[in-house]
Amino acid sequence: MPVLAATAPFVQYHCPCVPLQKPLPADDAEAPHGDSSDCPDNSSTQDERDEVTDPTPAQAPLDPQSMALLHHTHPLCNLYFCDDCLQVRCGRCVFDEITSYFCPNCLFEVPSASVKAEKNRCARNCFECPTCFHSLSVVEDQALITKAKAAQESSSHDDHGDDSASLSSASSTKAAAKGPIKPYYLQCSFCRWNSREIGWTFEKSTGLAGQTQAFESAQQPAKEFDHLRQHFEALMRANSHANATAAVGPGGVGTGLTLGLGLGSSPHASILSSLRQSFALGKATPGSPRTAVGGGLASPSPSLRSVGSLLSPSKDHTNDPPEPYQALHTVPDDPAIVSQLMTLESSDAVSCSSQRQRQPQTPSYLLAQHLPQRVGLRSKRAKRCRECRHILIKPEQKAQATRFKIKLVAMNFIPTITIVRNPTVYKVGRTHPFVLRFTNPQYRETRITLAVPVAYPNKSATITALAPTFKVGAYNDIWEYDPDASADEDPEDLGRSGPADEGIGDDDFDDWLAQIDTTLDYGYGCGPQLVPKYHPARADVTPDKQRRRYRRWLTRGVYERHANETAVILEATPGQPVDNLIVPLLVTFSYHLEPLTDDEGSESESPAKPSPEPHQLERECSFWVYINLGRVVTDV
Amino acid sequence: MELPTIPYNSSEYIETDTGNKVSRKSVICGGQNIILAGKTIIQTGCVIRGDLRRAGAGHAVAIAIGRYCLLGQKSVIRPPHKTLKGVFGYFPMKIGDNVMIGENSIVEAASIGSFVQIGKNCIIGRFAIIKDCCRIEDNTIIAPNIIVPSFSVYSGNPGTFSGELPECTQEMYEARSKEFYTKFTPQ
Repeated sequence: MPVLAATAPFVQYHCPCVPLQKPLPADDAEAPHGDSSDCPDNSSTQDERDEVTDPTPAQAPLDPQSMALLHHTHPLCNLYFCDDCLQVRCGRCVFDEITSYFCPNCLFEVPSASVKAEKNRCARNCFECPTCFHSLSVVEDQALITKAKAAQESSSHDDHGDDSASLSSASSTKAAAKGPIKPYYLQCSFCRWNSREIGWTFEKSTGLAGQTQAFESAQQPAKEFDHLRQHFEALMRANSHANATAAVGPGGVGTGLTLGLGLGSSPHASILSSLRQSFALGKATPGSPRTAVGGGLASPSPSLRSVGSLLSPSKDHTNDPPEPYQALHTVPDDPAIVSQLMTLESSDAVSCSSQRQRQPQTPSYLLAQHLPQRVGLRSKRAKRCRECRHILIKPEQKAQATRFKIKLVAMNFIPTITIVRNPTVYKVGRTHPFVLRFTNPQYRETRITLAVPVAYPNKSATITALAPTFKVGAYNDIWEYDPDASADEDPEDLGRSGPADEGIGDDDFDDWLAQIDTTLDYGYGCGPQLVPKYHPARADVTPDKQRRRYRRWLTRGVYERHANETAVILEATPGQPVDNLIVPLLVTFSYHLEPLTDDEGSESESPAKPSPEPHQLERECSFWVYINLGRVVTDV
Repeated sequence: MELPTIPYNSSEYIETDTGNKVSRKSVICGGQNIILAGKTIIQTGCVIRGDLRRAGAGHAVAIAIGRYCLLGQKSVIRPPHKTLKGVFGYFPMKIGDNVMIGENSIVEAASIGSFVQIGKNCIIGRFAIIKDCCRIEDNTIIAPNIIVPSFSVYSGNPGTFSGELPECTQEMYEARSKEFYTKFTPQ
């Protein structure tokens, strides 16, 4: 099985659209070290380390060492949140609906009616360079214009004295002789390619897409298409004269051709329908002489009677069989291309595959035959939940607007998890603490419960959450402006010396502290300063205060609490050396809904559990995260 | 992984009233033509050419930079120039809010929107227009006169469209630039 290459630490969120692994036996799924592993079906535990419940079997985690993990999990920014289903949604479990089309170069919004007619490309002045794909700019040849002006002036001088009629006729004949002046051409400001190399010059500097249609229609594939179309139209005319006593064609390849070329007029549609019916009956006649384009001829029979004729081709042969199609242009076969390429003196003239890919009409090996392409359009898309069709993303119509009318992204609903402190290298058999920060985006205080599965495929470490259940403060806009208004001291902890404190002697504490000091390597040259986030050089941190903080870390497992963020300590004991120590974690968050507030009126109707207090509703959600902690080496 | 604290030498940086942190080791020409909206960090070795302004007497803004921007080490901000009707001239450059420009990048854009991240060693060509919520990958060369539409990732040489950014890019980049400003603290 391919294993993930060593990557930087990450936190990836699992999307429930991909079913998780097969259920594990129930007795395997028991939490270690007395950690609470709270599943969403259970009511949230009040006591932190007592209750042990099995995760629901359907939620057994993925194999963290497999490559498949990256396909099933996503960074938080790529996820949506359906607040109807109360589920995380990824790009695969949403519908895309195109809201508007625009040209990425001129940012002009293209009405969806004309998108198809313009072949999904910009119909204005936007072209991309056939060589480097940079957008081309219109340049005017000043010399040509001045020359033309001078010529015009001289001609008017020559004709001076004649009567006006002869003057106009003379100048017009001159202009006709020289042809219209085409001083404008396209130039790439990056690679200096210019369209005069392929003979593209223009009379006007605007509406170039319209002017290039002449060049495009002069291309062989376009000509071939027209020729084919003429051929079919002639056939159809003949056929309508014969009044549906159709000559029988082979049909098979013809259908493909007709379909592929998209001839959409009604007679063709009838041919298609008749052919489709013949195919449905499984009686299509085998092919007749094949032409250069490789196509047989469709049977042009506009009425349903022709179906009968198709079914019994030998009977209705009243007309002569139609002429086989003669292609105007044949694609040179491989030996010809090879001999052409062999005469080249430098490889610069040969196009690379990405250049050929951008030439839908003539993907030639010779760069000189490549044409500038009109810039492809881009779209703005709305997104819907596949389950409930609830709209998740609705962008503004305008191409330049970056706002969204509806934006339900997971970032605004579920806690953001970041790795705060992490050893650079984990060692097998040793217990390393690491710190995760949970940021609450909700306007309500949220209780978070962490559950660590005991058994999962390729388990390489034992994880212990020192704080399996903790609270994260409500998000408040004011905090953004006041970074120092943080309460480093844990309000929950200050008032009480819980029972957890009692079992721990000073020796345990010092051991743990020593371990933390040696193993908690920050990896960015700041040294092991164990001072929390916003106070890197705070002088008022007395040794006593610091000691109290350490004690809190050990007993509560809460590293730091600040505004709507809580950082908690977990411990990892790796069992085997791996490149990426990826650990699954089931995160359950719950908060109380206030049914009386105005803006939350709709939410109170959605499925939520009644809490002990009758007037308060509790909502609970859970999701899996996969945390990559980094490399594990054997301790020598 | 959370961004670590980025300590800087407090004697090297000047902090203005609006919270801008400007390195003394950067080259700022024509300061009277440069506007910093506030909380912008200008790191060591940056070059900002406010002296390259539109010809003519009087006060003219050559470079306007929004809030919470970061000009990485050795980046060069230079107003774009062109010859219009035979007259050579410089044109003003505008940079929005929450724009992070990586190390060694050269920017000659006409305008850069808000919530834009430009990687290391990039060159943003003359009169390029980068709209809001974009990312330019490391080592990208944006050719002159290119327009980078919103929510796109550009990479390569010349820089071409290589991906779309998610809808929450604005929040993401805003948080990132604010976090950088918070973590950029004196030693």
